[in-house]
Amino acid sequence: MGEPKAWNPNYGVVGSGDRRLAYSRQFSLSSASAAASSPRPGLARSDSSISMPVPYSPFPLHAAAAPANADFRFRWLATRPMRRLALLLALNAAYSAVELAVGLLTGRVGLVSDAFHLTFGCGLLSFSLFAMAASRTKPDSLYTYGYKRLEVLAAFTNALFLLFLSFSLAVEALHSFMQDESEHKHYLIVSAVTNLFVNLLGVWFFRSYARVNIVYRKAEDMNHHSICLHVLADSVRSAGLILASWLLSLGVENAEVLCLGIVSVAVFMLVLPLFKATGNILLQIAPGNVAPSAFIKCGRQITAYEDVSELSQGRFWELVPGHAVGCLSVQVKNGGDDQSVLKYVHGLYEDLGIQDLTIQTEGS
Amino acid sequence: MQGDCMDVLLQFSLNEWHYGVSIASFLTLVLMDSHNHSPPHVPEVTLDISSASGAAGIKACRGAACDFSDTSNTSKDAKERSASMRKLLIAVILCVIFMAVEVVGGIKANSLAILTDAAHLLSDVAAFAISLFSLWAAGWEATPQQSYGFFRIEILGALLSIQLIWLLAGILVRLLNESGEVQGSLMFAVSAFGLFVNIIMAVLLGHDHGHGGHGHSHGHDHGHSHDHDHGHSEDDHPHHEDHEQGHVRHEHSHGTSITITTHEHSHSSSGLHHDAEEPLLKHDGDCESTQPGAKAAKKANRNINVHSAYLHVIGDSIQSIGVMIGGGLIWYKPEWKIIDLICTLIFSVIVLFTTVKMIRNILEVLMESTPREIDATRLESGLREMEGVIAVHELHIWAITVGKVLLACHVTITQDADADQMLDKVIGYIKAEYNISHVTIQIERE
Repeated sequence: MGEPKAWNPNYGVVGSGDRRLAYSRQFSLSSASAAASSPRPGLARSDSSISMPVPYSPFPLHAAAAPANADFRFRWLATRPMRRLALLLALNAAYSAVELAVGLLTGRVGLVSDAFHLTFGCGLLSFSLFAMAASRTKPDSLYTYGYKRLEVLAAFTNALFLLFLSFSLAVEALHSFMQDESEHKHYLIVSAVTNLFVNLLGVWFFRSYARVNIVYRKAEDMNHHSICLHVLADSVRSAGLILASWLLSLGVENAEVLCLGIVSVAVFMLVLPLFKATGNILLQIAPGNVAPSAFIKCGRQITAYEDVSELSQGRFWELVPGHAVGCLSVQVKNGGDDQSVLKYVHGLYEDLGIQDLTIQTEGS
Repeated sequence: MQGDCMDVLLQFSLNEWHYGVSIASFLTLVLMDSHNHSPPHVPEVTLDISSASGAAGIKACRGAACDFSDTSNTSKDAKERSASMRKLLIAVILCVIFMAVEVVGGIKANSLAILTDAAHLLSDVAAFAISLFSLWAAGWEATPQQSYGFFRIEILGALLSIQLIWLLAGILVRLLNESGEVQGSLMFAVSAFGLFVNIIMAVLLGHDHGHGGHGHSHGHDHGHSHDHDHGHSEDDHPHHEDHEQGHVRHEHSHGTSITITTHEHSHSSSGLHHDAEEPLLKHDGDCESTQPGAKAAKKANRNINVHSAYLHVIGDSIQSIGVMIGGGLIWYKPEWKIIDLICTLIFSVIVLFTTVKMIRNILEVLMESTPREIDATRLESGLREMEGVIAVHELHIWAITVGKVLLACHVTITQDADADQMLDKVIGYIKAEYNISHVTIQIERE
């Protein structure tokens, strides 16, 4: 184990005591086991015995998708985060139903519109839950890469919703600035307090993701992060409303404008990194955990290999964080052995952590 | 009353306008990061690519200029894109003019309803802005970080547009909950004007080049360009809506343009699915008699962003019709106020249904799934039946955006087969049968 780690994808940050990338204790078990199972190649470039990369089991393109769908039902509560999210959803749904009923009975429009807003948020969280459940399905002939992208999509949708929330809060602030009305509806305070408590419970459940900038290692990281930000933003909004009405009762003018404005800016700053990250993955940007210089270095090494005349069109993208896919095209010299070139190039990119690779070797 | 009007206008407009335009500009922020990323190593990489594509005998990306690595300005893609952008620009200008007219009229007449409609037109402008931005951004050149180019932005922009439609359908319900008394005649008049404006937009956006009177071929394209191989049963419902709307449109708007009359003319047999479908197929066949079978479906593809703007306008017209019906009913019998709410709900649901197909397409592209028009099992078995091929592994077919498909797979061949020949055969087969030109094949020996 005395090999010099010259090319560590993590640049030696993990285990160096840098707390920014640390996981909380309860999640570390799952991430540790995941890390143990996925091959972490030591530096093997000077390894003399080159073994052919183990091919993935050929996708059973004719396989029936029945097993996956059959116990779809039971997998809604499979992992602990899913159970917690389901609990959150149940609480939110129950509360908004009560609010809607009370609002309709007493004829208070504010309660009804708040209930609708809560329902909309519930809908989004249930899409996240659906994504968590469905992402375990095995790849089939229609979705050859599997269903893990759903998690990224759910995270993106949550981020969009949060952006919209921040804009609409800004509009409300502007509205109350222009209206200059200081009537505040007392009955909304009760709902704000309850909302705050439910959302704080949610933040506690997902507390290891309560950060603005997170390094995403797996698909579920994005989904969990987006859920945490969602409940966090909701609780900040409720807290802002409570604060505003308290300040108003104290006689501070324009309290609503101030509080709503601050909340809007806060939510916006919270969500922007997540929005960028998920948007980039959906746009098929190059893998984030590999530096561009690493790709250049690999390219140079390939071109320097004895049987290779040139390398063209190396394209890499990330399916979900942690799963990178690439396509390369390599020109092999006359009489060169293309299989050894294949093995060599596969090995090179495996060191970077890219395993799904298709290399087209063309003899010249 | 004045304050109320301005209030509603401001709230409504700021909501949607901000949402739409600001998210578009933040998408720019997001992407400018990766787009303007010009690290010192760029010259080295591009040197490789340009020399590679210049060399003879390179099989990757054969044929015309590779869409991903270099977007030459004269390519068909860029032409289509600029044509679509022009259409959208004209639509935006028209919308702004109409909106100005409505705002002036509304302030003068002191009417909340007219100002609300003006705010609704503002949401149209926001949708067009998103589509314009996506169209423009999709033409950016690929960078080392974004090796496939920026074509995906079209899809994300379309997703935004659809979300905006949903949001509006939802907001409208909420607004109506809170509004006070309704005046039937005014509602009717305002929504009729809104409908007229929306129809002009729809015609403008849906007008395919060279297909003068075939205003309906777009409804056809909309349903069929993707599902050409999969039968038409699933398209019946949105189509049916389209036909219905065509009929209603004609009754209410007294022949605004040629396209609408031909529309009504060819579907005079009311509402039977199959009757309606035969003329459609004939139209399409007439228009594209020069194109062979499956390629015709691809040719008739409308740009997804123009299509989402078109859907937005259709959704607005449907809601205008709903408001008109409600207004007419209330005009007729003023005590049926609850009808208004019910009408709005029903028509909002209808609007949501028109977006379902597009959302499905968008989600499929974003999930990197096999595009609908390509049968993966047939392709795989076709490859396996070729001489010299033992097995096909890890076949992945996915689309960057709606028209551009890529394929990657591992092919195991026999020991004595010639790798280059096999590569040529496989690539040629895929290109000829399925018209996929961006193919990466890894040849392995047993």
